[in-house]
Amino acid sequence: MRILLMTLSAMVLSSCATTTSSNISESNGQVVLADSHIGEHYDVVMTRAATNYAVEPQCEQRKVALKKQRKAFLYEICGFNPESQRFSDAPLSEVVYHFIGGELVRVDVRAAGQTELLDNVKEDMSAIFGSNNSVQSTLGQDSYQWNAKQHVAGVRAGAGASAGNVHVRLLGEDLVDNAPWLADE
Amino acid sequence: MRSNLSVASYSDYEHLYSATQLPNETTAKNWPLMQQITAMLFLFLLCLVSVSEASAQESQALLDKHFIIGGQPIESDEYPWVVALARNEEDSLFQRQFCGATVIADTWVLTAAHCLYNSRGVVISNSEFRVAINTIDLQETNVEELLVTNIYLHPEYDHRANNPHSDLALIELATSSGITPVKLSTKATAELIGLQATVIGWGATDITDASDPTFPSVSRSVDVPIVSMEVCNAPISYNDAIYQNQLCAGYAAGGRDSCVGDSGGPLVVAFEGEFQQVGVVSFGYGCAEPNFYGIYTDIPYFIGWINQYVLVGEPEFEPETLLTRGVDNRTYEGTQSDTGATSLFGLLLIGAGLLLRRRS
Repeated sequence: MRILLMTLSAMVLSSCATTTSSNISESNGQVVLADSHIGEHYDVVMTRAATNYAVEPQCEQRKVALKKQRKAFLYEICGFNPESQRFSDAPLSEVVYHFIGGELVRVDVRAAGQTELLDNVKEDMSAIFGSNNSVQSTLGQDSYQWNAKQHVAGVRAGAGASAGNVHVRLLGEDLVDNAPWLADE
Repeated sequence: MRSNLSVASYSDYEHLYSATQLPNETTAKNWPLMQQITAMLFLFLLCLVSVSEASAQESQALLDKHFIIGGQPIESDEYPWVVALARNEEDSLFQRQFCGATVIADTWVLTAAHCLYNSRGVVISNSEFRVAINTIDLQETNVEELLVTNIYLHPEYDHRANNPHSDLALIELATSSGITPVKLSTKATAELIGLQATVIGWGATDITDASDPTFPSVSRSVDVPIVSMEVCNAPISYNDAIYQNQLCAGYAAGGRDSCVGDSGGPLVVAFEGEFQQVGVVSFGYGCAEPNFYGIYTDIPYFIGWINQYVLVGEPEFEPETLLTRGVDNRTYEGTQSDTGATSLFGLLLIGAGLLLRRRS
């Protein structure tokens, strides 16, 4: 019986792991979210944003500290509101890129829609991060986090005033340790 | 052990207080024993009260002044060999600057190894950064920036280590800087303990909000004493995490320290009016936190490695081949300690010397 259950679980996991959508996928531990790779260079991401979304993101920059180090890193935040773009069947309302030292370290995507659409987002995230080397944890009510290899992805179903929104973000695991303020922002 | 320490401390204080004449043996012998003991006790109490008051005032002053560097802007010709590392991009120099460095030979610059890693822990290429020279103000326009042809990281440096010792790198410039280089100290590390040093850089003056620190445009300097490994590795401080090829500098009360953006910059000591670089800004727990001193790469320890690329002098001691961390009594035996007890004892001896001389 136990063997049967394990076999069934493995089959379910493997079928989930192959699920992809047009906006989110996973390859070699790199998560592709809205066509953006963690670690990509600033210029590449900005070019893609301009091409794919027909927008010019508004950027801010400041020098920041990473834990313990006394080197100054440049932290740049570029955000925009895409039109007619969808994330896992839910319409995108906002995309914000975070760079440290010119490299993409985090993408925040806010999707807005009905509950059933937002459930699709969660299912897609489960499919991508639901491999045997990832850990899913519940951060709180309607809030989940998947930890896979080098990246952390979070899906947070909004509550109260922000009900109906899902906030997805990707963040390097090292940066969660080295720049806790980045994870908290 | 303790008496050895004290004797060494006494001789060290002797040169620091050159105006003080020490009592000769004959004069001391002529004093009645009771009078000598009374004088010593009186002086001891006097020293205790004055030192406690001074320490309390200094501690409070340092804590009140929350700014990290806690120093002041430098003058343009004060430290001409201090240069800035800046990303090779379109932004202003102020935004692009990420570390400090020093010119140690015409086409050679010394910095911290960790400065040459990006946020993902990958070594940056020569073309990704430049060396800005002859400026103290990063807002200045038309600052000269030199291209880099080679970088050499110390082979023992481990960017992922909890304590990344051997945090040192050499940068070879494409063209001459034309700057008179700073002299690198070749003195034994033990000789540096207790000396007042100066750290220079464009680092943050306030990191209350770590995600948005305050950075100056004009380079600043602050004076910090070099502290012993015993103090730095005490349980209340770095608890044996610091290696013998690192220097600790700062105040137990905190308040004055190097900080984010100062990495790679110099820690210097003035010897007979000439600055000698003794350290490279490496890391620290936060900035200017009480009991957590700034950690610097110990330059004299690495003179041999630097000499492989550019001749800067011969070390005046034999660096330990076995790298240990924590307190090593063999290294520090008989040297000056900056513990409060030793300082008090030194002051007591000097005070006694003054009194005895006046009586004679």
